[in-house]
Formats: sequence, C-alpha cells, structure tokens
Amino acid sequence: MASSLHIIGFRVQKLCGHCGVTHKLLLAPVTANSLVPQRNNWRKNYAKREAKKQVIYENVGENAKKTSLIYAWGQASSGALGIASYVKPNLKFRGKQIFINKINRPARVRFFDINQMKPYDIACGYGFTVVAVKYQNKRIVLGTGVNTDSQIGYHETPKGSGRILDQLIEPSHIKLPIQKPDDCRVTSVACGRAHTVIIVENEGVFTLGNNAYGQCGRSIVEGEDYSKNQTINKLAEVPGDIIKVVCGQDHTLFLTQSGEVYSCGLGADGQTGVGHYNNTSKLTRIKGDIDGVKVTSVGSRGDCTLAVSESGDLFGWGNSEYNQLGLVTSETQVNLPRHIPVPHCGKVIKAVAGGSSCALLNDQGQVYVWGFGILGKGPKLEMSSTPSLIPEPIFGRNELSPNTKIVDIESGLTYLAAKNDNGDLYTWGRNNNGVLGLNEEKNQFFPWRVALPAEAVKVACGLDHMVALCKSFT
Amino acid sequence: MSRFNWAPSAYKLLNGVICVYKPEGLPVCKVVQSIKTNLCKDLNALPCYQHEIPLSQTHVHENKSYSALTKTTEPCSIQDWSEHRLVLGDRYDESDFKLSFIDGISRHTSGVLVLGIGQFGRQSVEMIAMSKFLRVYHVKGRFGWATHNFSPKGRIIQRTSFKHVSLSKLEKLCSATQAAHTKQMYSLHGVNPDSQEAYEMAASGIIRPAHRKTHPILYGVKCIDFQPPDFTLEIHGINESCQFLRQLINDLAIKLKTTAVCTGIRRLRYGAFDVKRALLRQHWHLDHIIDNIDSNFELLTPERLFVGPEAEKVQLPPVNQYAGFLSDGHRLLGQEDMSGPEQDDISFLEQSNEEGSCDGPHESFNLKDSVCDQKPEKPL
Amino acid sequence: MKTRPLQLTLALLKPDVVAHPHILHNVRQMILENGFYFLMSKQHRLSTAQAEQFYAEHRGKFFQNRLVTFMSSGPLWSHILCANDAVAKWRKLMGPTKVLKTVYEEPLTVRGIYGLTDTRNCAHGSDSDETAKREIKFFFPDFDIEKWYEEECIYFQKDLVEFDASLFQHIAVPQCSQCLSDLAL
Repeated sequence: MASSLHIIGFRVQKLCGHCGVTHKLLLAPVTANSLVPQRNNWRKNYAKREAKKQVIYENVGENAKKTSLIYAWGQASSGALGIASYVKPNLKFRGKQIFINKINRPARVRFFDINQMKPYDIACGYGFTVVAVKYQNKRIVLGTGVNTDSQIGYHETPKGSGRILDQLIEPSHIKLPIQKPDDCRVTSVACGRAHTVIIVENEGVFTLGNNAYGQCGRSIVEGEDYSKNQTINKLAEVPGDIIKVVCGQDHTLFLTQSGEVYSCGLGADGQTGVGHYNNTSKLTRIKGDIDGVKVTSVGSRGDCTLAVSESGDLFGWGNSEYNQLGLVTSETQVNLPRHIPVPHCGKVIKAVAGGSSCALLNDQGQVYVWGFGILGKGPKLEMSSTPSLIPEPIFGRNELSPNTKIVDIESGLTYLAAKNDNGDLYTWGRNNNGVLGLNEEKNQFFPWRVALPAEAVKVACGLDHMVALCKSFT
Repeated sequence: MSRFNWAPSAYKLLNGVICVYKPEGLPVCKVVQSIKTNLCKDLNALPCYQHEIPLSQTHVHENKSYSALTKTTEPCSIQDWSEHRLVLGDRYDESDFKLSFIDGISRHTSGVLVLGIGQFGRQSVEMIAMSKFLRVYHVKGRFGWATHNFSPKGRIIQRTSFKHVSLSKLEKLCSATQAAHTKQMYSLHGVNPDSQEAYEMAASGIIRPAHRKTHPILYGVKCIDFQPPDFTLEIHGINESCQFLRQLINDLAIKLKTTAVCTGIRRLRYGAFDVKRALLRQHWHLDHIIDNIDSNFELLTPERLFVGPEAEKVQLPPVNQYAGFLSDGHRLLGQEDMSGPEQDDISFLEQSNEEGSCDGPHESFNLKDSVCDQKPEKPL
Repeated sequence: MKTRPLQLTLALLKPDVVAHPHILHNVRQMILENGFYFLMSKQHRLSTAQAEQFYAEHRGKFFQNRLVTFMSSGPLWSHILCANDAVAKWRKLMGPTKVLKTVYEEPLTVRGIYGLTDTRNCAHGSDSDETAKREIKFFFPDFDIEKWYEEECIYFQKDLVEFDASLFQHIAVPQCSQCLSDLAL
C-alpha cells in the first residue's frame, strides 16, 4: 500500500515539473477518488501490523528448565507403560480411546507431567517398571505393571478392603520401610524377571518380589506364596559401599565402590559366579578371575554375565550355550568368572549380555557384538564367539558428523539398544510387540534410530517393553 | 576486449557446463536471460562475417598457399555482399543459445547455480541431476518473528521472546534433526530394509535417495553462528527446496518455543561445483564463461558424475563415447586458452576459415582433432 | 459316521506365563483356537522334590537343575488337552524347546511369541502317548483315562460339549435320546 501511494505522488510531481503549470487541481479529484479507499486500508493494515509487533508472546516461563520426560513403548496390556488409558479406556471418550494391547512407537507417559513429578531413575522388568521421582521436595519410588510376585510392593485399594492389586496400570507409590519415607534417594534400581532391587542412599538395599531362587537375598522359604506378599526385605550384612545393582532374569549382582562384585539368586547356569550351580540366597562375593580386579561395570539380562574392569578387560561367566563365552571355553555353563581376551576391541568400558547375544562398548565409542541372534550385522543369523564391530556410520557417524560416538549400550533379552552422545537412541534385534519402538513390528537387522522427540538420558530395557528417560530440548 | 577474433569459433566453444553465482533478488530465468543477452552482445561484437576478418589474418592465409599464386590476381575488393553485417544484421540472437539449469533456487536465495549450454552441456546437466549431488547451504534465521511465508517480508503473524534460546539448545536440536533425517535416507533409498544389501549400504555412510523427487533429506545440520536474534545454520541436503529450508528454520524455532523467520539462504556448493568456480554477475561474459566451461570439463568425468547409489549398478559407457568431450585434446585446449590465448586464436581462425561457419557437432570434433594435430608444434 | 480317534496330552503352563494374566489368557486362547478341548484344568505349586520327580527322565542332564528350580519357582497351570493327534499337535503349537532359536525360526508358536529363554519356555508338553498317560497320572491322580474313553469320549467326538470359562474346561452335554441314537449309529 505504501509503495503505491508513493508512486502516485511521484507522478503528480513529475507532471508538474514537465508542464511547468500546476496540474495539481486537475489531477486532484482523480487521485482522490482512486486513493481514498486504499489509503484507509493501508492505515488499517499498518496499524494492525504495528499492533502485532507490539505484542511479544512468551512461550516459555520465567524459570523454564529442561524437563525430564518418560517415553515408553512395547507391550501395553501388562500396564508396564504406566498409561492407564491404554489398558482401561476412559468411558468419557467412548470411541476415541480404545484398548491398546501394544504400542510400537515411543509414547509419552503423561502421568509424571500431570503430577509434576521429575523422574531421575528407571528400571524395567518383565511386564513392570520402577521409576524413582522427585515430587514436591520428596523423593519417592513408583512402580507400575504386573505385580503377581509383589515385585512392585503391596497395593491394597481401597484400604482395608482386602482387594490387593496384582496388576497396576498406572504408577503407584512403593512404600519402602525406611526412616525417612519422603527422602528416598535412590542410588540404583534394577528389576529382574519378577523381583526388584532398590539401593537407597544412607538406608541400605531393599528387595521385593519373587525369592524362589534367593534372588532377593533372603533365605528361600519352600512353598512361599509371593503374590499379595507384604515382605520387603532389607539386606542385612551387606558391604556398605554398594553403588550399583544389576539384575539378570533370576539373579542379582551388586557392584561396590571398591570394585567388588557380590551376587545372589539362581545359579543353575553359573550366572552367580560363585563356583557352584546351586542357588545362593545370601550375598556372596564373586572371586575367580575378577578377584583383586577393580570392576567398574557389570551387565546381565539373561543368564550370562559380563563384567568390565577399570583397565578395560572383559570377564564373563554363566550361560554359554550360544557361544557367549566361546572365546575361552567350549562348555555351556561356567560358574567362575573367566577373563575373555578381546585385544582387537580396545579398552572396553561397558559390556552387556542378553539372552543369547552380547555387546561391548569401548572408549572409542565403538560397539562390538557376538553370540547368537540378530546381532546388528544384517539379516544373516549367525553364531559367533568373536566380537565384531558394528560399522560406525550406522550410528550416525559420517563425513558430516565425524565426532558422534556411542556412549551407552543396554540389552534386552533378544534385542540391543545404544545411545550416542547427542541423545539419539538406536535399537535393533527381535521386535516382539513393537519393543524396539521403530513404528513397525518386523525384526530390525541393524541399528535403527528411535524417533524420540527428546534427548535420551537413560534407557531401560524390559523383556517386552522399553522405557526411556529423556530430557526435553528446551 | 575479448581475446577471440572470430565469433563462430567462440560460439562453438559454448558447449558445456557453466557454474554461476546467482545474486539475491534475481530469479533464475532472469539469470538465464541475462547470460544469453551478454553472450549475444559479446559474440556480435566480434567479427563474424567474412568481410570482417582482419586483414593481417587474410595475409597469413594467403602466404600459406603458394601453389595457388595465380588466384591472388583476383581483385580482393570483390566480395560476397550477401553475407554482410549491413545486409544480415547481427549474427547471433538470444534464441541461438540453448541453456538449461538444474535444481534452481528461489529468487531470494543466492548461490551456486549450474547451467548447461549447448547440446553436450545440457546432456551433462541431466547427468549431474541424476547423480544427485550433495548441496550445502548457509541459512540465516532470526528469532522472535513469525510471518506467513517464513520470510522477513511476509505478513507478520506473531512476535515471540527468545531470551531462553541458547547455543547448546540449538545445537542439540540441530543434531536431532540431522539424525532424524539420516534415518530417513535408508527408507527413501528404496532397498528392502530387511536385506543384507540395506545393512551394507547403511554401513557405508551417506546414502543418496533413489529418485530425484523424494522428500528432502538432510545429511548435516550445524549451527555455525549464533548471535541472538540472528543465527546461521549450515545445512547439507539432497532434494531440498528453498521453501523447505525456510520452513525448517520455522520448525526448529517452534521446537525451541519461539518463532523465527529465514532472512537469507546461500548455496555454497552443488556437489563439486563450489563458490570458487562460480562466476559472479560481472563476469557473465563470453571469455569468462568459456574459461568456466573449460575448467568445468574436469568435473564431468564418469568417476566424478556417478557418485550416487547407482554408482555400482550403472554400466558405465565406454570412455570413447565421451572422447569428443573428454579427450586430452580438449582439455589441452582449455589449458592453452588460459596460457596463451593470442597464439591459439590464430589456429581457431584458420580452422574456421577452412570450414566455413558450420556449427554442428561433427565440426566441433574436427576442431578438436585439428588442435590435437597441432600439439607437436607447440614446443616450437 | 466315522469316529475320529482322540488323543490326550498334558499341557503345563510354566510360572513365567502364569505370572502374567494377559499372557496366560492369550496362550489359552491360542490353544482353544487350534481346536483343543480342555478336559481338566488345575493350578498347582510344585515343591522341588515334586518337580524333580516329574523330570526324573532328565536326571543327570545339565539343564535338569535349572528346569527343576524354575518349575518350583511359582504357580503353574496343568491342562489335559484332547484333540486328534493331540501330542504332536500340541508340541507343534508349542514350538521347539530352544526358545532363543525358536523366536527367529518359528516365531508364530507359543514359545516363539511368549518364550523368554531356553529355561523359561512358557509351556511343557508330553512327547508321546505313554508319557502323556504318566504325566496325567502325576498331575491328575483322580482322572481315569479308560473311564473317560468309555463314557465321555463320544461327546467330544461329536462336538457335543460346552466350554465352562470359570473351570476352564470343556464339559460334555448329554443330548436328547435321538442324538444319542445317532451317535450309536
């Protein structure tokens, strides 16, 4: 509008200069007629534009910080995702909410946002999830999912009615017998197939759930009914500096500050590493080749266990039916830690073991895999006992971003997950129930990025679901 | 002043790929138009009719043929007036130049633009398009504004605050965007993701999409400058459009809980064609264009062209097929052109005198052959 | 009317399945959809000694220990299944024992879908007619196989049965005399 006005004004002037006489009067009525409506419009638009410029929207609050988000995917009917509407659609939204059996893409767990809880640690078992949150100056532990072995506590609703829940569809408070129930600072939490171990700072180690093999670290009671069981065991006589706990299927491994490993639970494959194949119900220090070595990381999801020492050496024990420990032994069961020489892998910083596949991560950010199953090296199933490298370009390293590297790996029973320093999550393996979160349900033969709308901080691999603790970008 | 003395010989050299730097605010069609006009003007300024041949050159011609001494007795003032500038007018007009371009950029974008001129040039431009080169852009954005078409000149929709935006947040988001697109490239390539082939391809790094008109794929998104409210991203992509890049700026900003407009886009590279090769607007003239075409010949070898996914699959045509365009002779021609233009002009002139003013592809082959023949003479 | 030979087999749903109500439901649905009749259903809890007795044939094998400890780790459901060639059919539906291989090779079997590891492999099935008889005897001492073949088999052959969801077993429904006479023919 503005420009057209200028042009006409210019024309008037030029005409005047050309003729030397004032034609202004002659022209005036014409210009006035053509311009009047336009001029008004221009003013209006200009005012509108200016008004819009004046208002500045604030989409972010004054003290906005990056928020912790939880995304979950996989089998939903167990309630382990913590999204109640999937399992029990709200009748108010009839037709819009339907029962969802499984979900194959990351779904945001709104429960924590709605209740203004800030999750800081997660763990997944078989059909259940445990989340440690900060909530109104308190720190509590929540659990959701299958509770048939009381692995996420004793939940009676309404109180005193005798109706004890054996399945939760939304996170609920796990009440631990600690001195300050509102200040439950969780150092580490891990879940096995049907038991949960929680380490609370300054309080001790608490175990819940199935103890048929002694995986809870208390003596096995023949014929004990674990469902609707109120027992929460606080481990007695444990070394005070336990910093990390890792759960296999039915065994538990504890890592201390000084690098010692303790274990309890099922030992039928030697996964407890105590030198025999019997169940251990009392925490026992693992010796063998790791005696005197400072262990920094332990990984176990199935029945095979791997450990990594501070100097980057790899140790393994437990099940070796699929050649997981094939480099050092041809036996199918090993009950004492053995040193596994992997000189071509560099300095190992983390190793994880699934049901039949194993993976290790070195300080260069490279991932090596071995064992059996979908290892991430194409559709050919193969049994290999030597770790082989997954090419780095698959994890996003190419000539345009040469510094990207993997910083964390996790393992499910039949799938693997890796996280790089940008917070991208890659998964591969068997895609049962959409557990890989790749928006499809076929097996993924090499690492593929999960479309997470936030930056992954920690990821927990359950047996049929997966939960990622993320940080929003802003 | 042009180094050429004879227009048809210069015209014959206009057969290849030109790389120009398109200024902002000039549509691509105007660029093409302007190049055509300039070439016309420059060629018509050169002698292009028989009668305009400088006398000194005719003498050289005569001196060569001593055997036909008797014929020189004809009076040289008798000329064929049917071919005279005053009769026929200018020899070249704009329709004589066939130009085509690939992956044009929008009016408000500046940067490298690849054009093909002549039959060979247009064919090679098509081949360049097929090989799907990576393009690099610098995209400038400004936080705080939202307009209806993402450009600063559009209708204002909203103003927002951007105090909370920091470089680290922007970088995180850039890497997330890049990773999301990297994932897409496997699916757009068109191989079965369950096959061993897909795995091997993924392991090899960058994969180019199978078709030219797929969804845009970004291979790299990086923040290279951050001075709020302005920021600059370096974006590597294939099959993108300028509108897509503008929208990308807007989308990134929305994820950062603010808004942004795209204040400028500059294309730095188109595959091997980078800004160093690109001709600035003041150099869109005959000599520079011919130099540019010559220097670009080295980029049109099959090894350089077929970098795409078809690199393994395409049966490379035998080198002889390109002999006319890729032979050493022609490249030598280019080098000689730069080193000593005046000497070479004579040879061009002689050549064209002998053959008249035909400008078919066949003749252009002969031209090169003759140049090749002259090669041994060069040391003298 | 030709009578179909019916075979009996024992199906055990192991603690890993029983612990998950939705998986238990799905596995039973799979069995029903494949045309099995549930003759008897019962929930058990085995002690270690009982489990050892049940797996006496595996004594001395390397997996015997873990099998026994797993079977005694929680509640399990035992079913007597009845169908044509039930032993082979149930073993086929169940899939091979090595779960970590089965999940890739036969992903549509019970173990392929719900199996966890080689030990925690969802279900157990008798491998022959004789074993089936022995195992049925072990879990259902009151159930008389001969008596069932004499009295109720005919209803199952004629499909004159109803499914009782509360007991989770099929119950023969005696029909009118006409039908019975048809059956006799």
